[in-house]
Amino acid sequence: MPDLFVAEHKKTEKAEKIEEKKISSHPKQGKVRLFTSFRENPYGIVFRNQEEGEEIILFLKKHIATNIPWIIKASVAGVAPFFIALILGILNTSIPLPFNYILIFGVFYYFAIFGYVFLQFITWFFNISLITNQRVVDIDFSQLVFESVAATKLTQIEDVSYHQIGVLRSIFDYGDVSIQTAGAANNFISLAVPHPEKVVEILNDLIGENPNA
Amino acid sequence: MLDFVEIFSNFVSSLILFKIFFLTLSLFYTIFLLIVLKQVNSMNAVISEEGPSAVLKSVAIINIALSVALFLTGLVIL
Repeated sequence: MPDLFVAEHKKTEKAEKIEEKKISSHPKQGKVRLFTSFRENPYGIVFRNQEEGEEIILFLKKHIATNIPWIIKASVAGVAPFFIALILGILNTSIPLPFNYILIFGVFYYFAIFGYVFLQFITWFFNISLITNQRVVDIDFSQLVFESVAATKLTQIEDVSYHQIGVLRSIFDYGDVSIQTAGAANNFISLAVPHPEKVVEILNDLIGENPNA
Repeated sequence: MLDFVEIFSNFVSSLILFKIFFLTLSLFYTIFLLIVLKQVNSMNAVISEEGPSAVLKSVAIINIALSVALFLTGLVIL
């Protein structure tokens, strides 16, 4: 017998959102820029050994505030020659070298400061932690000589916790995230990452989502 | 008169020493920057971020070019 009255299925806004979420479980949120240290579902990033269908859920670097010490050092080094010149002026003495020598040494001095700044910046820039829908990847790079890439599958993660101790960490909201893994696998520690509570929450969600967990 | 000549020759030889010192320093700095560029390239191969990776590589290359220019300037004007 044919139905005479069939109730119209009006999709509510909430149902639409849920459906949208199902289609793309991790919608892309934003591009990673030069100073980005925390980005959920980023796009435009590719890493070595990325598997097919592996999506980056979280992109992490140390909080930008952790760069303050070397910025201060470089700034002090940058203004130091002016102070030296001022002191020499007050003492009414000068450097016993021709002007072209002083000029070229001065230029070189600022080049060296820039080299230091660039090295510190790339050290910060290339220390990255990635959380994908399959694993956690930790990329370490230190002072030009040390480079390591470590990864652990989400199924191997046993416990996730964070520590946020200190005034600066509370003000800028950053802390250390520890990822304890099963068996002989090394534990992961992401140092000074922004919004550590959110990182732990996301990781816990991923471990919960994982059917093998 | 002899003293003056001696002082002058000492001054010139110290300037030459300064020049050699500067050129050596500048050469080491250029080598250091080449290592930086190599490391930036190798890290870009590990992880590539669409915009920033290219910016860093460009900065590293410009830095090397400027350092070579400084070395050559030092060689000519000192």
